[in-house]
Amino acid sequence: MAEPNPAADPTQSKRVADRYLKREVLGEGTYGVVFKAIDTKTGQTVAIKKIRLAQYKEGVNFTALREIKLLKELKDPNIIELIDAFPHKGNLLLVFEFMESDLEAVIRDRNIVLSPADIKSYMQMTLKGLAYCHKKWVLHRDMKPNNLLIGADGQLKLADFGLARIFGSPDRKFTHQVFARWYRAPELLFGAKQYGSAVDVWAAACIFAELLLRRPFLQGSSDMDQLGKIFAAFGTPRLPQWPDMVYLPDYVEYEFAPAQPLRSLFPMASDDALDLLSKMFAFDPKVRISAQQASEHRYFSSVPAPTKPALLPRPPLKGESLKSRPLDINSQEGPVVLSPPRKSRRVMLNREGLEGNHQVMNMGGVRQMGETTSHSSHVPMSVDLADLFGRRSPPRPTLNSADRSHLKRKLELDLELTPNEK
Amino acid sequence: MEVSSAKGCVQHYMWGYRGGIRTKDRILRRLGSSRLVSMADFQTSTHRAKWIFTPRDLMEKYQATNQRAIKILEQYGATRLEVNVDGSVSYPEPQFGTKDGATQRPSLPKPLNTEEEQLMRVFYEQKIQEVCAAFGFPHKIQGTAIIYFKRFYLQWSVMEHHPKHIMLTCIYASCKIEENHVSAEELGKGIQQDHQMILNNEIVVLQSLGFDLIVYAPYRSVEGFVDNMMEFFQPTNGELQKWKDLRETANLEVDKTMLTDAPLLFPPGQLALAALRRSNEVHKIVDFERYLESIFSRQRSSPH
Repeated sequence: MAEPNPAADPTQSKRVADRYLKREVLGEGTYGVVFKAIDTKTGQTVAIKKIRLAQYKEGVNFTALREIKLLKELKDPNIIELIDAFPHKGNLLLVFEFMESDLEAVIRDRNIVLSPADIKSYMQMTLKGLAYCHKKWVLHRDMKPNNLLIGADGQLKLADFGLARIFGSPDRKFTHQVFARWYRAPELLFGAKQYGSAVDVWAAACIFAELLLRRPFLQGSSDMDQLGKIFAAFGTPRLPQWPDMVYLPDYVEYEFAPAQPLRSLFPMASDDALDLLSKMFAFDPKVRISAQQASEHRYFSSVPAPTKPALLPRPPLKGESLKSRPLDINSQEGPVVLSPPRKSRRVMLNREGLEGNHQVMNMGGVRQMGETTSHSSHVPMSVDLADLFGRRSPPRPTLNSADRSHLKRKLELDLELTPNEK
Repeated sequence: MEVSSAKGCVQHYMWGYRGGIRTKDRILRRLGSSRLVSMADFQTSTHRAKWIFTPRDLMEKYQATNQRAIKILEQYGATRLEVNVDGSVSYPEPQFGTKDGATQRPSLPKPLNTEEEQLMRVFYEQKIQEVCAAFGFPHKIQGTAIIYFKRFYLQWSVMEHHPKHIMLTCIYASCKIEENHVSAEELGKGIQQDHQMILNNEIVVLQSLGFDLIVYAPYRSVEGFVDNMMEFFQPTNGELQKWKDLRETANLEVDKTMLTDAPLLFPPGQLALAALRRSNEVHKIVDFERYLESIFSRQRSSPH
């Protein structure tokens, strides 16, 4: 694309298209097919996202444009590389480096044993990639294991920048409908519209916890329930802990629940791991550790050293046998919201939890049917091997359809709120 | 100020600047302003790496596109390219009879020279400012749109793609990229233009920009420098109106700069400083040279 005026010379634009040898289709993405290809110029395997043009009333797809504009500026070993972007036969093709797997597949694969050093390595790469984004003033806003792709060399890379935005402007308002619910920070769940990089750090903390537990840590079935789950684990925040929370638009008072000792939630984690985790899970976003500070935490310099990426355990490749199905039980004791989500209504936590937990599980099951499609329709630059072999995904909510249309509306109408801005 | 040495330090200064955000916030609040101070790094941007040229580069590019259009004119008798929605372009149908073309040729329209092309571009760049002002868009929308427009016409002659169409498509793309979405229909309606034309040109514009879509207009650098100058000169509350004037005049200077080749020649920080210097010549608020000295000496003493 760097060549000047590729469109002016038809032979040249043909060559660009001929540069890639098409291989198998990897899946149907949210805005088109993703297929594998070989870059004849470099011999590299690539994943090509095909975005249909001329089918949108508003020209080139928004999400795709966001991804292109940001990835063009972000070059880091822990960020997915956008190799090329060009129109071809009525489509816009985005060429990414090919990634073998993703962190969700690793976490779900019960045949994989993750040692403390392995977890440390995955977390280090996640935080380094995130710190780089924040240094470049980009919020990812959709951090989850499924968007952390893993290359053939074991390197983990942040991908899917379709929800990402530039931040750093005081008083700029954003939508709070970002992240899959289980990874949403408490300030977002309370409706914050002005937020910063701390939202990504919270999500990274959830991923850290998920690596330790091998299941999603806080599996809320609604936004209210998500907050309930957070408070049941870490205790309901007291005012001195998070003075600004009462000013958030959707703030609701929750019944006080004491914090559970982190040690009891993560019995296998080291003291350093728990210390880092507690700093990443700080309620007050101003107090929450930054991605950069987190990546320099002593957890990463203490023994055991992080596993070298090339030596990390990986899910079996196509053709190898997949034995056990993952058992995914949300054993988290779920508090239950007893009053409708209105401001200043008191929400009671059911500390007994068992009955409530069943309910939550059922809801999870129902949700799964609706969302399997949204899960399978969301294909990143890797193959979901489990799906190919008919293994069912756990009920992992992405943004549900209601959220999505709301979000779409929000994002497209995300007008400047500073009309005098120069 | 010597350009090459000033270049690096000004860029670093404005775009690598983080430590002062808190202070800036305080100052911004004091001014009752919500102006923005920070953005993705200019240092490592595609803007800095690929879109800042020497005057000679620019001249060669303008001559090359001009020559190509003239050749097309000689070959086909017309220069305007057909653009398809997928970004592909087709050359005009030859307008001459094939039999004894040489003798039957009608007289060709006279092609534009590079100076005339330049005038055409400036005319439509002014139109971008007018249209954006009429829609009441945030100021950075016109800045981004003009930079897109300039970059587009490094690849093409105004004889090949009509600047009226490209201008509107650049405004549309700028709104999209700056997350200030306006529908193509709304934009077209506002100025009685066919919105389908805007959409048809979107891909050819994006492609001609090499999909490098984050651009740095000098407006934000003006904000940053004014904040920093206030820290340096410590104005009293009574002087704040003067500082507001300083900033406004500087922004008007930038508006003028945007109609020249300067945004393709210099980084935004330098353009902002130049605008502030001129603005200060009008308002005579501070000793500007002393401020510049202070930036450069700080720059020299820091390892970056």
